[in-house]
Amino acid sequence: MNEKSITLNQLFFVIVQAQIGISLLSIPFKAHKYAKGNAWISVIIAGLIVQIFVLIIWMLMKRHKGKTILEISQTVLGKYIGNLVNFSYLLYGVLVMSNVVILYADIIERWILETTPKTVMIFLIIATGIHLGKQNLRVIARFFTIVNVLVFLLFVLSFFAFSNNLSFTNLLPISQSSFTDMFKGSTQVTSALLGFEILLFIFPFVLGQEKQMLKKMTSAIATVVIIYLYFAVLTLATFSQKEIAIVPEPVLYMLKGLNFRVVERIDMIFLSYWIIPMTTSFVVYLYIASSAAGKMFHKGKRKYPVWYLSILVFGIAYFFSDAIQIQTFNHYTAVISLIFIFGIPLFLLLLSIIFKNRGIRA
Amino acid sequence: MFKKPFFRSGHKEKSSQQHFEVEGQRLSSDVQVNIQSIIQSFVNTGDLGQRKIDHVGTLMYLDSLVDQDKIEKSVIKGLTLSDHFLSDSQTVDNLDDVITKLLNGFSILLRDDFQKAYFFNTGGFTSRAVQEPSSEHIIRGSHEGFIENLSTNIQLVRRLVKNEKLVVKYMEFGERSNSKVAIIYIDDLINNEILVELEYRLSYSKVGYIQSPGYLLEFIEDESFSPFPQMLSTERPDRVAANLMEGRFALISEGSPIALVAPINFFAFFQSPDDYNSRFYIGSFLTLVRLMSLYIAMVLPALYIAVVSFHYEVVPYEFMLTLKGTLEYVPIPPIVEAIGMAIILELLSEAATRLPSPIAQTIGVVGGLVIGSAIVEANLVSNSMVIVIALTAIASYTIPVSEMSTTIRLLGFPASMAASLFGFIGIAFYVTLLLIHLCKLESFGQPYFSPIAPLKLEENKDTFFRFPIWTMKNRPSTTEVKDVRKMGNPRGWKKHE
Repeated sequence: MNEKSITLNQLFFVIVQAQIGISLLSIPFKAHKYAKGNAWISVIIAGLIVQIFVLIIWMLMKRHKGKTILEISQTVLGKYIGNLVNFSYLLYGVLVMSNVVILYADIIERWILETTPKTVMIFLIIATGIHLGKQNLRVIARFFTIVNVLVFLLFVLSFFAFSNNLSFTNLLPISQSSFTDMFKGSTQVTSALLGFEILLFIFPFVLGQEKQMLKKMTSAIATVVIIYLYFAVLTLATFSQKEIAIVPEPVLYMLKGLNFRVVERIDMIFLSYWIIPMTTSFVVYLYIASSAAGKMFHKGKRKYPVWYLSILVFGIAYFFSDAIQIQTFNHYTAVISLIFIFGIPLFLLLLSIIFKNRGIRA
Repeated sequence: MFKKPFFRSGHKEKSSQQHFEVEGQRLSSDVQVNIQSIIQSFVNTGDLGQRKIDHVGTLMYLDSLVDQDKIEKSVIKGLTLSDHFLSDSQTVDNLDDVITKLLNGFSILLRDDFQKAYFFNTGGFTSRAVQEPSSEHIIRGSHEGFIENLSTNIQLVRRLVKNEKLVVKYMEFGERSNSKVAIIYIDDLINNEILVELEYRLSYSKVGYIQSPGYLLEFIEDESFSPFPQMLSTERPDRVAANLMEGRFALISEGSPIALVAPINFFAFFQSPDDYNSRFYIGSFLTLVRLMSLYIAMVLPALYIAVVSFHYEVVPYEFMLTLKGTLEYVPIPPIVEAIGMAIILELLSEAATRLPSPIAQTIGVVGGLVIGSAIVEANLVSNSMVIVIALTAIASYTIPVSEMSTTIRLLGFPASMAASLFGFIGIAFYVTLLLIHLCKLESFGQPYFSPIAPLKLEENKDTFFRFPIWTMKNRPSTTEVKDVRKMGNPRGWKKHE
């Protein structure tokens, strides 16, 4: 493989940035549909679920040291079925990339540039994505690290929201929704936590002991969950039950309500810069898809797949324009992703335990 | 770090073997033959002087390069007075060496029946006095600057770094000009891989004439098409010395007061020796101001354009009315205004640089007052745009290294265009692209945007704020120095109070 190694701290920031993106802006909205004022509990449950997924991925990677999922699948399942799995990851990458681009272009259209054609936005997003995605892992990790400044900025901005009339009683009573509803809500949050599956592809390139890595991974997931929890609580306290049901991006609406005397509509300035974390989500899946394609067709080189996969994504994103299509697409992507973040890793793990890492053929 | 240092160093030897080294023509025992071949080598040049000294031999030199006084007073006097004046250690025996010596200001003594030539250092060059470099003024601190003489420049550095490990390596470039270039580094600090890489890259620099270090810079820098300078060019010995101490090397060439320092990082272009000579609050404040000016110089016009052409709602209503008022009678779109004004500004500064200073002041008056106010009165450019562009200019000039400040102003143009097309989103995309580029960029294999990317928190003591000097106990890890520790515990006495 011709990837450069990254440090443990970079691993932390890569995971954080892979997860944080467009979905942070709409964090309690989807969960609120089911869990009502208990959406914040859904966030915690989702965090625990994701932690289990991460544990499975970690156990799988630990059993097969120095290998990415692309190589593990071939060792365990044999060359052909392994390739099939790898190809499915390629398709998965393309699918999520398209989903990210579509949502991303949609939010820009709704909030900032209402008359600019979506195609232009999609082109800009993908062009920026290619520029980062074609670099090696180390450069990507460096970039992901600095992007966290924006998360910090969002935190600082959110402090001003405490000047609103916050009613933390919105969070109570806990009996306002049943546990099944909370769980349903947490599946919605899980899709906002997606991105950690990049672990399957970068694990061997991290310098450090497996145990240290597990710690970093856990702390990254915990950090993201805490950030989500904070914004969930803040927005639930800011908006009443009826309001939050109709605002798809509660965090942005919350910022919109702030007045700074010199700058009004801080949300627009913020959202413009928030495209950088959104780009990182795109790049994560570009990395996944292009490493799968590179492994299968280009002797491990990601140089060409980055280009043609992006063009493919451009084609897909071009056809999804109206709101209902976008929602359906988003919904199916979230369901399908479960197979790739949970199903396949668990399946491979079980197989490698049963066959003692030797694979089916042996 | 470097992909294949061993392969590279092997490759280097190979390429130096290919370098043509013709066995020089030996001197003959006949003086007249030698004189003739020297004259022929110099193609009968007019300034080739020769002087016959009775009973001794013939002295040859290039008039233009020697000090006649030295020849009269020491060489000729010595030769006529004492027979032991000549020493065999100061001889050369082939024609090429004789020519090199002559070109370097030496005098050559040829004798009958002697197949060697004696040489005497009689060089006499005029050079400018050491003075403060005009491009890097500082308020507090050393006011010495490099001049055009290489040995004086090295002397200036050596006086600051009295260390036996300070190594000066001479190399010659330009097969027709034989320009002398010195590589200076501190042997027990610099990482060997950097040196190997440097020499490997320099081994390809085979050209006829090296006019200035800028030539070499373009040959050896990592990314030729990057807008950012990847070597720090400075005229200040103290700056060079400080960088040598952090495990970097400097390249100084004969005939130019510029030293090139690498591997360098982005933030070094925003630091000034001044910062370390004043209290750390002041140093921190000024560093922050400069980094802020980086942002202003690059995106302020773009932000303004984005606000007036896309996002009126971002600014408060009253402010919007003011802006609208200044824009009302201006017929041209903001982007044309911005680019026009920015070009006028560049014209003014370029004109002022080339002209002698009394006339340059006139340019300031004509440009600043006449154009500035007339252009607004004629409703060609709005008042607010003039303010924005003026701020941009002032901000960019606060960056201590002029190369970087021009780069930043240059990078403002695409930002303005992106803003005029897509508003804030355009600026954000543009900044993203630049950041990605900065993360990718390396200077001699070392990350250019360190210590931000890769993030090293403990090394950020000199990036946005200048922490007190005693907190910076280690050298930056990006240069991978051999000795990381910079100082002991200078404030240790505090404990015993």
